[in-house]
Amino acid sequence: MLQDAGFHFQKGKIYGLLGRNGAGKTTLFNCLSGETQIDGGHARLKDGEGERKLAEADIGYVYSLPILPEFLTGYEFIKFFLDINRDKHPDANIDAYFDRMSMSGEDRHRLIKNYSHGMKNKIQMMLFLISKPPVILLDEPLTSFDVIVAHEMKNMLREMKRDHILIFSTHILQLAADLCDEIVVLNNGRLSAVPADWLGSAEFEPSIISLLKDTSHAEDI
Amino acid sequence: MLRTFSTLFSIRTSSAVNRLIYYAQRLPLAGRAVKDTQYANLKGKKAIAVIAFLLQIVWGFVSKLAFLGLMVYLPAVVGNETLSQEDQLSLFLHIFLLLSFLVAGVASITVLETKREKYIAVKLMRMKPAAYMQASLGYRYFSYFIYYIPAMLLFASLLDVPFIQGIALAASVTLWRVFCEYLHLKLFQKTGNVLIKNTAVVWLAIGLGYAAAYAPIFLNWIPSGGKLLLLWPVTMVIAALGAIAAVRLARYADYRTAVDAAARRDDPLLDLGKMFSEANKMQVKSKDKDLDYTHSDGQTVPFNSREGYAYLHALFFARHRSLLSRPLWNRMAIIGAIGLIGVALSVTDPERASALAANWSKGMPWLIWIMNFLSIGEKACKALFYNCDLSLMRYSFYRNDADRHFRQRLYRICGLNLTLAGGMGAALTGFALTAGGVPTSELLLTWVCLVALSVFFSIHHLFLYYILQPYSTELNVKNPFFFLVNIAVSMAFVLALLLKADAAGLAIAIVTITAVYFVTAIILVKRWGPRTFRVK
Repeated sequence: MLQDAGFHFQKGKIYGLLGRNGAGKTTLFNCLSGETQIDGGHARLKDGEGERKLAEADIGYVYSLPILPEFLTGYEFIKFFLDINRDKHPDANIDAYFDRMSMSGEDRHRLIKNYSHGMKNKIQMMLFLISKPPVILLDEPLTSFDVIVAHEMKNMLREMKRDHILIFSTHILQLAADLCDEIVVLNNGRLSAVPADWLGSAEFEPSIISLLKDTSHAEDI
Repeated sequence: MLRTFSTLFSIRTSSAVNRLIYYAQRLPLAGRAVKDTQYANLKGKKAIAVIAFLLQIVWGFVSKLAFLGLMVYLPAVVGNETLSQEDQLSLFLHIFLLLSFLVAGVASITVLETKREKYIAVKLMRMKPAAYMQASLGYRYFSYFIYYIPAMLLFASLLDVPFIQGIALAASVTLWRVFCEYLHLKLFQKTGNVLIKNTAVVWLAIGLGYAAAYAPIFLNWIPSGGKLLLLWPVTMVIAALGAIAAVRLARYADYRTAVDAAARRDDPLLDLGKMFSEANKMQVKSKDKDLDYTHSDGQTVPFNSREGYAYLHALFFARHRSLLSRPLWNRMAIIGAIGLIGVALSVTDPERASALAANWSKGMPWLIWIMNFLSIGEKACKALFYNCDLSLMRYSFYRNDADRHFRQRLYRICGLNLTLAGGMGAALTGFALTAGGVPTSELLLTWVCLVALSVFFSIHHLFLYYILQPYSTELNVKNPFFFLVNIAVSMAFVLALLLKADAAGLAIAIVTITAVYFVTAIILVKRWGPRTFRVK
């Protein structure tokens, strides 16, 4: 499905991965995160210590619909998570994380079963604040978020881009234009960058559409 | 009408042919040769359609033969050779009357049946409901009659019934069923009740009908009611009723309501796959009363002393208590019942009891099957998968710690299974002591076996869960290895029976195998767990 898909992603930027349905965006993410076996090729991470193969632990995968254990409260879940990662955060304060996400005391001790979509999303993002994976992949973020939650999420992402490589996949042009610093188009199994000066311009939408349109397909009505 | 019929026919054969292609693709080796493009191969499909149609016809004849032969003729004649042919005929007719006239008249009805084809034809393809029902009913009962003739003639001739009466029987049953269809429709018209959806009534009818059909054989009584079917006046009456019903059905004005009642878009019966997966999920969904609090500030504190996976498991098992406690209590109840029956037997019939007790060591291999049945491992794994692991397995840290949570869960499940083993041991001990004649050594070895087997099956289900990850998100098991391994374990039980192992040998074998399994499981989960423990 993906052939010679090669690209160079950098920290400090939010990348938008644009592509049509079935182009392979989720497949690419699954390959990077290790869910799917790669038939060929490699993914490498260059950090302060040099270049190495991208490991599963380096990736944080943000699902558009967070799936969390419903029988725990938010507080318990984060406590559990911190216990597991105790060696990285010996004296972490759970409440501090919740404060940063502006979750009330009542909400923290509510069962995840009764959480709204926005709250579940906050918990998910807290996991990444704690574990700080170098690469964060977001699969169709902001779909089915209400206005306020979407706004909070966008601000969170803009804040996080300093310390992480953020790549999110979407097929909503406007979102990509709004949030991203760079757009990468996945078409016919290949990745190609879109010139940065297109992003603010008026011809952004028609140019992307002509890039993505496959001439062998029947003309869309 | 003919056009409706041909459309209906096309839908049926297309579906059948597509189904054939679908399943051909799933054959192990040859399957790969069948590509998806076959669905477009109209010429080929027409040829297969003819084959499918012929197969359907053959099946029609064969199924009637099988039904009459296995369910009606066999019970009436085989094993009753001492009876005269007259009596055999009476039995045959009695069973036939009850099964095909009464039970089927209540349970096997097409006019209000929920069928996907009905939905497709009327709702999606906008066929007129009356046209659909007429074509569908007409075809069904016409072919019903044709398929019945050879079968009925065969068995009638075996029972010395004249040719013409055999045909009359076939006609009777067909027309009677048409009459029943009309009755169901009338009932629906008057009361809005779809009788076949009332599962209680249907199952009651089936249960009582079958019981009444076969009871005379056990009671050595020859019922003469069935012979009524051979009388010409009766046949005439049934024919008249059937004919009137057929005319009324053909002229029925409000088929649309009838079809609407049977083919609603969200009718669960239309999507059996979804119905089963929902049923599966209900079994393992966490019960509301366990999680019935929006604030659990107070409830967290008792667990705060624990950390990491111990913390997680403490919370999980506390909050899913009723999910696991109900199966546990059910099993204890069964064990209790067995114990009581055993003790009652030894009190009321000491001879039979001590005869059973004398064969104690021969019966010990059955412990394998008993503990397999009692083991609560599978229920626990399903509950863990659906309520806990499904969400957490996506995190790499959780997968990499597979061996840590495996061990903690193993100890908990062992605890549960040991409780059950203890109960079983107590029940068996009770029986052995009251019946007498069981050497203490054998009794002790029984306890050893029970304990070892409970540990074995605890490891077994959990290990398979971790390594094979058999559950899909729909909670049905798709992994063939899972079935194979379970069959292998069942075979071990048969093997033990065949080898006529003595008590000591059996106990040693079980303990050794369990110990080896324990060590192997721990090692393999540590090595392969991170790879295999993911959502499929």
